Amino acid sequence: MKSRKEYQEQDVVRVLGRWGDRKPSYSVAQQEKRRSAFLSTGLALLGGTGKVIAAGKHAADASMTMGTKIALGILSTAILAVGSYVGVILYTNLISPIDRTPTLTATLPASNEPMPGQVTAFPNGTPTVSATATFVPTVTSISETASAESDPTNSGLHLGQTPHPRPTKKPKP
Amino acid sequence: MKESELIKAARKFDRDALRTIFDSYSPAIYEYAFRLCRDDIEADNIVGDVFAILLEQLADGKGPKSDIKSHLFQITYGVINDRTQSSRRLSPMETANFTEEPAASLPYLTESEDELEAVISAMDTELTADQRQVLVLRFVEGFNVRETATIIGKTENNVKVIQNRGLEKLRQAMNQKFGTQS
Repeated sequence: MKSRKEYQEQDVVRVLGRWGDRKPSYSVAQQEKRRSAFLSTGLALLGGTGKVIAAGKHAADASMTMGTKIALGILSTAILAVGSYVGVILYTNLISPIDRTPTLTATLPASNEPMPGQVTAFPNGTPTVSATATFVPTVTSISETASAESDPTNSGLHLGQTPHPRPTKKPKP
Repeated sequence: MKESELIKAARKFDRDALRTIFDSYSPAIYEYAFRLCRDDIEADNIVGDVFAILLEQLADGKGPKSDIKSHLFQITYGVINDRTQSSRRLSPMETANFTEEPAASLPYLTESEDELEAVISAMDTELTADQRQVLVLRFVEGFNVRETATIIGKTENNVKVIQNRGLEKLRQAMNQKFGTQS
């Protein structure tokens, strides 16, 4: 029959110490596998080039060489330049025309070219004013195609407003 | 090779230095992990994690400055805590085998084995994770109070308090099983 005693802290420490004397063995196979993985990772961190990663740098930086960084820099600069060029082209072709006062073009018939605002006498004797030229007051020469641009500062038109031909006065007989 | 030179070489990922560190300390890390998780595969995984973290630290220019062993135990303490918190899977006592020595070599075998089994069992059931780790570090692995405080990241006074509470719980458990009630 076991004698019952009162355990003290020293007894607990003694038992724990005995536990420490019994060391669980680390399997040689497991240890070898871990060692190989550890050394392989250590070698990989060198980037395979023998270069040592500078202190303070992350391990991931090791794989990015200076050449790679330069190539990335050139690539990003090229992308930026192409983007800017496309932006300018788009602005010139699409955005800018909307802002500009529209250009009006009038085609005059090949025959019977009336002068703007000029009274033309017809065989029936009825004086008329060429309606097609009423809104081109500054045409100075007669050709197949006459064009005139309104002066945006003097036209009195708002942006996008279409100019209407001014009513012309009928000449007094 | 002095430890400071070993650390310096390890920072340069010198293969021999890394091998020396692994061969010197991996068995101790395994033992410590095995005592706390009671599973050889889990303990082996913890060894893998600890040395992987060591490599990350070396790559970051961190890692041990003077005492490699304490530093590795510090990492191990964190890894075990993380694993314990993420999964409360401790293997049952039946799978643990701490009695590898031949039975005839132990005097008063039955009583000693009963005591040891009772202490180990009480460590699982009665102690907090910190108390368990402190007692293992102090009385099984042989670290002093200062080293233990460094490893678990607490003050020496904290370590003493944790240690005394843990010992008292184990003492009560042993008295409950074998001795007089206190």
